[in-house]
Amino acid sequence: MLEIKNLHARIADDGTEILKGVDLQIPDGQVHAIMGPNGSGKSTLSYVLAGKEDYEVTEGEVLLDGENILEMDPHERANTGLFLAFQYPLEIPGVATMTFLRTALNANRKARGLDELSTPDFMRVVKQKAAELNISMDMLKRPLNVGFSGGEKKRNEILQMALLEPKMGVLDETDSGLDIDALKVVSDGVNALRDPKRSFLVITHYQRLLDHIVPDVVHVLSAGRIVRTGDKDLALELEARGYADIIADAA
Amino acid sequence: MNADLKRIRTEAETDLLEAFANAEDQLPGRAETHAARRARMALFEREGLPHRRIEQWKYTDLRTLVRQLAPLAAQTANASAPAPAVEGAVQIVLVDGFIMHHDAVPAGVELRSLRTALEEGAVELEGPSTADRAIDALNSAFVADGVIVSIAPGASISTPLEIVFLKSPSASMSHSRAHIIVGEGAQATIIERHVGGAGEAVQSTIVTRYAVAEGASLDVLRVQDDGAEAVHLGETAIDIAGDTAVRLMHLGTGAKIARVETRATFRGEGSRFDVCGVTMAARRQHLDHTLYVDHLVPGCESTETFRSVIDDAAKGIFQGKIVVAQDAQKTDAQMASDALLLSETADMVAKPELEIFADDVSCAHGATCGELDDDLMFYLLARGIPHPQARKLLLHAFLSEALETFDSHAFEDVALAAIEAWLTDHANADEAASAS
Ligand SMILES: Nc1ncnc2c1ncn2[C@@H]1O[C@H](COP(=O)(O)OP(=O)(O)OP(=O)(O)O)[C@@H](O)[C@H]1O
Ligand SMILES: [Mg+2]
Repeated sequence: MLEIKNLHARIADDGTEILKGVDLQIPDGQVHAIMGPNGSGKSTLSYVLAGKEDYEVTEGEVLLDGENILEMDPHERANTGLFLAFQYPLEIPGVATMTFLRTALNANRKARGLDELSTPDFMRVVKQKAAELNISMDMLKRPLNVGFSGGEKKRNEILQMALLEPKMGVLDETDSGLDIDALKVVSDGVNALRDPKRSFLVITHYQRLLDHIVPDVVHVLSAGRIVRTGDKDLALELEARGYADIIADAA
Repeated sequence: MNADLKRIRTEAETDLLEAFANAEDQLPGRAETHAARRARMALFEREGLPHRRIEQWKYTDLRTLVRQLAPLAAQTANASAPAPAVEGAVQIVLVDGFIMHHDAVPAGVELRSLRTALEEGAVELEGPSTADRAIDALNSAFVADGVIVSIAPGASISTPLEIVFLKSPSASMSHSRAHIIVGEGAQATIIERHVGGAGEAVQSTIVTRYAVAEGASLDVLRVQDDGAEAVHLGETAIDIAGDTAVRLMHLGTGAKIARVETRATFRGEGSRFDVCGVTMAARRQHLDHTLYVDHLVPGCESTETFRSVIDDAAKGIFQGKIVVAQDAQKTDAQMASDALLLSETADMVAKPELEIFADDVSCAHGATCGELDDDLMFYLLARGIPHPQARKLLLHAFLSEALETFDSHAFEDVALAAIEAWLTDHANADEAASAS
């Protein structure tokens, strides 16, 4: 269960407040979607959850299974079970994707008191999960995300999530840049991970994704606050009418 | 004597002249050789050690960096060389410049003692006595022994030849020299291994001269891993004939103060020279790599790729000068120096220069200096990789990108292992420092 309570955050550099009191509860096993206009603070929320230093939390708390993750370093949050699929996955020349996956997985296992996976065991796991996401082994030999297409980068994010098996997956616009087939593959990948003990926060602009990954709850974030919460039909309503009315209602 | 012409000598400069005066009688060579030695020494008598007002030495002022001179090293009977850097390499071990022993060399390779060659007058030590050649001048004045390696024309030597420039572990000054002659159409792999001195204040000049004949191909690895208190003054000069391919990899992690000069000169058309360098500096190390590439003839290509990681209060220096002569049309030269600074007190100076007199050339240079990218760090952290490990991954990635020239080459493995070892030592040192 993820609980976000009255979360305020500002940009560390210039003090601009972006999140102005976000309240959100995602019980185990549920999928929540966040929609909202460009610049409303969706990615900021995801970064604040993951612990990016560019932002300063000024008020509120975030509890993952009762533990305040705001006091943890980013890698500790990840190893506690928080996973962020980036809106813009980064390219790291000189680090082979496979090396990266293996380092991450072993760091996670170590934090959980498990032994590192042997090379053959690791290869077996990666091969199987990559195949499910239509990711070729050749791609994994290349430097991390370097020269990957937009869709390949997003699939690579989901592969990482599948390997790390988090308690809470935050997906920031994982659907953008995906073609119709890839959207299906990625959604199937996420749905396969759905579990009574695992929850998801899915940030998206498009209702189409939510046809595949069906949310339990949909929230609208506007100017750093949740201004509306509803069921999956709220997404349909937004698709039809846009944000203007809802934001006006909330103001 | 005119008082105006007298400069005040530092203690080291006075000791240097005295050391030469005392040693000269015992140095090998005939009258001409001795005259050449004295001519080279005159530079130091006149100008002292190179200092910051000399353009090429602006960032490495030996007059202030080297305050005291260690006594000249005598020949030692035995010392133990490290295991070869590349498995199966044939070792030629010089201790403080004197040949100690060598493994059996393959057919097509001939070794000679430089000392004997000097005594017989078979080798000359002439050269310019100018401050920009101060390392060679100092070395030529004092050199007493060394090795001449000849690769027969047409010979293809697959076994790497490793010349170990070992310093004995006592505060001393030494001068080592090797001449490597690669015959027409020959192929060879040479490793220069600069090691030893333990934690003692060893001071050395090391000159290696390569003459690469037409159609030959040569790979050189230079590992500068001298002890923590060493002063290392090295020059590698490579003369490149036509239709040859020379590759050089430099790994610089050792010494307290190092100035390494690489000088490549194209003398025949249709050749290429690829040099890459990796420098890793910490503590208060001062590591200078100064590069000269002279395109004297048309139609040659060169690439110069240097990457540095500088931590603590260390200083890195890269000076790279590519000269393209008026005749050297169709020259292609690409030089890049990139550095990462890991602490606020770390420092990097990069001075790339192109001097082009021809009009139909493709030449470029670039230099960057920055810090580790926070966004890349965050991406790794967000996957659960702890900070030291994430940093290590990124530094490894940054440095290894300099090694592309040596993709799948035995040198690449040596470099990757050296990078790994440095990063590990370094992470441990950081941890120890933060724990105390
Ligand atoms: N590091 C930063 N420095 C400066 N401004 C920032 C920073 N991060 C976010 N902002 C600003 O905060 C606001 C919210 O940005 P955020 O990326 O969270 O929006 P978003 O809801 O994800 O938008 P989109 O739908 O376009 O992805 C924007 O105005 C953005 O410019
Ligand atoms: Mg966003």
